[in-house]
Amino acid sequence: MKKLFCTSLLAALLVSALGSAAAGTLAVNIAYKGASQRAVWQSTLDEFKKANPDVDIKAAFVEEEAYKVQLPGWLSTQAPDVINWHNGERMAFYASRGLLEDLSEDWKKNKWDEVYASTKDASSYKGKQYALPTVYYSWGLFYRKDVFKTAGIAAEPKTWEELLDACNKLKAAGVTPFAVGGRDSWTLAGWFDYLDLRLNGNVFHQQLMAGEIPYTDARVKKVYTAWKTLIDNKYFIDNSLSYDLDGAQPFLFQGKAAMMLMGTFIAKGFPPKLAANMGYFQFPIIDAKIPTAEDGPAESIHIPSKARNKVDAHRFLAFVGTPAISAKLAEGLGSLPANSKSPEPTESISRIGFQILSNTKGGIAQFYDRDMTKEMADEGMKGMQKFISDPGKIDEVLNELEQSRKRIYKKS
Amino acid sequence: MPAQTPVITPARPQPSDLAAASKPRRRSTASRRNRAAIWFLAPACLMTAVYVLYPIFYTIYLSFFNWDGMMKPEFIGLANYVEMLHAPTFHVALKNNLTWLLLFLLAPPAGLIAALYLNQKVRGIRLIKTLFFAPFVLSGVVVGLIFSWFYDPTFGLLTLLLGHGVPVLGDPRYVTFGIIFAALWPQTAYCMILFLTGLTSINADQVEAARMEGAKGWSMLRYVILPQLRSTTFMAFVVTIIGALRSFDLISVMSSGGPFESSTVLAYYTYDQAIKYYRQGYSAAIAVTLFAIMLIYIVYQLRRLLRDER
Repeated sequence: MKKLFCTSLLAALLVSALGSAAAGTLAVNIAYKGASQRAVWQSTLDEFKKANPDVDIKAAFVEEEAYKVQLPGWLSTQAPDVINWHNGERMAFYASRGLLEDLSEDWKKNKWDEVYASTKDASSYKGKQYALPTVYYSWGLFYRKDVFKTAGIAAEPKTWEELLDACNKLKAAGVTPFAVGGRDSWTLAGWFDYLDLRLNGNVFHQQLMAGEIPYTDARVKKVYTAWKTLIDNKYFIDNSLSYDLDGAQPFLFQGKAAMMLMGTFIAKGFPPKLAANMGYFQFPIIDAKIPTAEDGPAESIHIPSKARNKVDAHRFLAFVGTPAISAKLAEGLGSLPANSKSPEPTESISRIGFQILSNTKGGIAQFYDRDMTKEMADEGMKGMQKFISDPGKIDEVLNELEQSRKRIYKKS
Repeated sequence: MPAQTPVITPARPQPSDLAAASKPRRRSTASRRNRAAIWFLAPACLMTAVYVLYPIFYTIYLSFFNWDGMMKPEFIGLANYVEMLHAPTFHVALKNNLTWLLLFLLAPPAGLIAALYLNQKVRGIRLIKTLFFAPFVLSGVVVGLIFSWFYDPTFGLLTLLLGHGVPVLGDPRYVTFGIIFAALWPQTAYCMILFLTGLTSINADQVEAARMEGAKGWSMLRYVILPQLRSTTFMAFVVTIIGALRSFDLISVMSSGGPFESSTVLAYYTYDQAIKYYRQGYSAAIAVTLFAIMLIYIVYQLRRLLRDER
């Protein structure tokens, strides 16, 4: 019954992925966004084919949003041999249901323990590894170098005071300091993550993500209060809830706003004329006593437990896990190679991102909606939107979040 | 006795019936004709059963389970419905559905006005007709995008017209109205088409007779035209109300139900729960509720129609 339901639901889109995969055929499903991402995956598959002529590759490229919808169907019925996905909670969701292959042996055999040490936690569920990290990206503040100069800001802000000072100078010059696309609620979550990591540290942040700390805690309120100061001072663009990420970037391109907190993956999309004018710096330190932690979400590839050609799938993972391939994927996806043996990126924004992440002392977080259950994350992000639309409602928002936390994490 | 009562549809033709040559001739023709009808109907019935009835009953069945779409479903009785009735989002969605329903009813009158205006014989009316018809041809996604640009509080046309930005899609107070307004655009065009078709089939003799009796303007419309458009009006209302209840695409494009689910409706809530949180059972419960609302309404309307026809 279940099988019939799923297959009929997905049949039309799945034909290519479901076809009869004979031995020696490796079915790979790839989620991608934009032509350049698809191209780098395709060339990686081509290289694997060249190195392993005995394997036929059947690749299905699915646009990221559609991929998210179809993935559960594949994993529970006729799974491809390799999929790409995200580390952390997103992976654990499927690993906990026994739908992903345990890769702990591969980790030992291929010495991934060393080269992927920083992403090992995010690749593990209950002490076993279920993922091979491919790339990760850094989060920080993008800014317009020329706008900074005309507003009289000498250097990139390193501390909270310097950042606020820069904001004041920008306001005086008639430029809004920050662009943010609040319609995509995850862009707001980036702000929450960084304010929390800087004010309370990664240990607290991870406890909060795991549902162990009530949202009514004073430390959570401190984050929102700091945020409220920025909003009250009108440091963010007006009506930010009307814009998604794509809609918020023109503010930056037109010089109406000076900075944007975002992941390095957007750098590839900057207009060529402006690219040289865009700088990138680490989110400033607020409390010097707290070790700096960063958001560094990782992407990964996995083998579904219902895959038919697991032998070749393991070979493919070993191939992608080499420093050269990892570097190549990172280059093509506008990210950083997860493999620590990979050569350092050459492009300037990627290099700053690489330095930010390799110098972190407080640890690396996966990102708000990858560090906790999807449902709680969405409640949290809805709360942020509510807070942005009326910053005076901090307590109301936090009380509602606390109700959701009790329900979702079954705490009373 | 069956042989004496006039049976038009024998439940099942028995082999003995077919063999019996002594039966009256009329009856065997009738049963043959009925058998042919069954064969002609069979493909459609089969399709309806597989693609309409089975999903409906399976959805109802599923709504009593807790199922993530992957593992074994777990029977939980009415728990999904209980949770739904306590979920604030469900009430927001229901309220928004009602708002949609009420405001969408502006479409048939607006469509009628447009149709009456376009039903003239003036030079260039064809071009104007085409312009009025255009929004109906656009897909909902395109309409949503166009209106998103129109509403943009910094760069949009609305901002230029008003002189200052109004965050129509970013403010929980306006977002639903903003989307309904966008949806009314193609819906009005749809109703207009229905009425235009209705107007062409109006009896010209009657109109002429009425005119000779001195009817014109409002009285002509009220007592001669509108009664003849009754079935068209009924269609326009039914289509509009169903359109309002299943509204989904524009919400998905223009606001994704946001900000913070303030513009969600039952159809979008169903999708959200099934696709984002893998809660197939809970999602099925919402879908069943929406289905029930539509069913009650349609049965009510059909009964009214049948009563009027009699």
